[in-house]
Amino acid sequence: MPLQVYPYSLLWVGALAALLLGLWLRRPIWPALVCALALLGTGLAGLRARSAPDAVGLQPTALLLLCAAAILCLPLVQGGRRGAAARYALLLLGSFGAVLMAGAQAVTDLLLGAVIVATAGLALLTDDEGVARLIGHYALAAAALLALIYGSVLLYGAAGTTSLVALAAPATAGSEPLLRLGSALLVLGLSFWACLVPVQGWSARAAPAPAAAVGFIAVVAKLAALLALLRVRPVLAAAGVDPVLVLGGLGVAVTTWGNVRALREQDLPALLRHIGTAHSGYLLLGVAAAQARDPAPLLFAFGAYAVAYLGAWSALAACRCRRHGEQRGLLGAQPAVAVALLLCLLSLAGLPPLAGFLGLFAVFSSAMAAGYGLLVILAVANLALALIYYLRLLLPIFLPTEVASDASTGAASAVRWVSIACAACALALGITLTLNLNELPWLAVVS
Amino acid sequence: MSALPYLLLGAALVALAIWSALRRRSLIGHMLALEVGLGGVLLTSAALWHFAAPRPEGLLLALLVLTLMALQLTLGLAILVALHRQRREAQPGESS
Repeated sequence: MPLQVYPYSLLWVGALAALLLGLWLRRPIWPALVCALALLGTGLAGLRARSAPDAVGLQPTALLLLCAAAILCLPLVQGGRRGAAARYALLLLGSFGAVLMAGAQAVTDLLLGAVIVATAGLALLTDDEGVARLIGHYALAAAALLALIYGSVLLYGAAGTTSLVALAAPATAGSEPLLRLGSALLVLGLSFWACLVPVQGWSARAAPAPAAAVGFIAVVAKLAALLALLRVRPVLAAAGVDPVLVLGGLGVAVTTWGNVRALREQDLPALLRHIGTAHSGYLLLGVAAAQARDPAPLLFAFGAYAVAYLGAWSALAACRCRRHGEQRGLLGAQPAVAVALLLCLLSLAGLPPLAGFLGLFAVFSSAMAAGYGLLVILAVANLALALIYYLRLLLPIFLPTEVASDASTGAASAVRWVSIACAACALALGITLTLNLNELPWLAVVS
Repeated sequence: MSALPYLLLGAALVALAIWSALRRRSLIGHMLALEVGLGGVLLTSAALWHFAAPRPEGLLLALLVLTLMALQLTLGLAILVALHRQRREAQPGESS
């Protein structure tokens, strides 16, 4: 019992401690340290609970993954001293919501987690420049939350329970329509947190969103929502819907939409947003086809995406490139950031030997094993299409210098280090696993 | 008496709210739409609890909906206040 409560408590107690420390101590490093320790403790406590499966309502590896992603987001927090402490606390509270949502045992857990994540995301987006951008984000979050709540209520009406396990039992006669509508609304609501719909708030072109908000929304919240969809998938099956076809088809459609938008995009942060949307589609295909007993390939794909996306976003924030062409000559001006950007984008493009290649391969092989070859062919065609804009983004980096050499402030330096660490992770993970392919059954096919 | 009229009214309110939330540009419009929609959800929840599954879990769900209504309204008001402050700072001569 203590282990069931402990990891969750550690997160919100840590958030409270960070907030109080921020009020009393002048340096923002202390709240950051408290948050990092709370996240680390939560991840380790999850691993300790490995003997009791799902004791924390979540696969231990998934919990560790969410915590690691949140730790990587911590250095992206910027702002004044008091403001920074509040943002650290928000990041931790948001992570608490993400863990709750990802490990949901009942639709009520899902609702609570979703509302905490939405609130934290909204608050992290707030800065001096961008209050107006919150309106669009608030409207979308409200519509998604409404769909989620309405879906939960309909599921309760159909089965008389809020437990996701009980809802996944075969439907009684006459309850299928409510079950179908309820589960469809649940998927629709979660698609906001999984970034399957355009999230206007953090991608407004006039004022780029704070890096921590982007890291949280596009990585931590997205992975939590995709893990929640993994839990909702059996409910779809119980309602008589083919989850692989519906979720996988939706995933491929979202990927195509993201890639087509990215092809025409000139604004670099917006381009990265479209890349994130495209990857949400690939990961959703993975969720649709994942084996319930062995989610390791899917979790690896999540990890590979998290590392590469956070690295690419941080590198772009570190070099302060906003429009296409501004990255010209980056290799000469800021070699470390340029190499980090190159590695992270190539990992997102799914090129070997980087982690992204193995992650996407795991997703596609799961879908192929589930018998949906057509969806895999469409997804691979999308990968080929995506190479066009990846090359358009990366080739100018090698041209003669146009970007000024960097005289970094402390905050910019932290962002740069995040990008370098993420790129190193993508490379190390990719090479290590490529060298040990035969030891991983889900990757053995590659060799 | 069946649950159908309540469910239909609830569904109409939710549909109206989602349509309005995605269409309107003003924050107050979004907040009003959300309140209407959550009212519809609450009505559906109460009807399903009364007619289909009168269990404590249903009451818990209804309480959760009420809490979320309050939370979302508070968030909307917070954004409204922040916007108002920002505009007042940008145009100090026009503030009263």
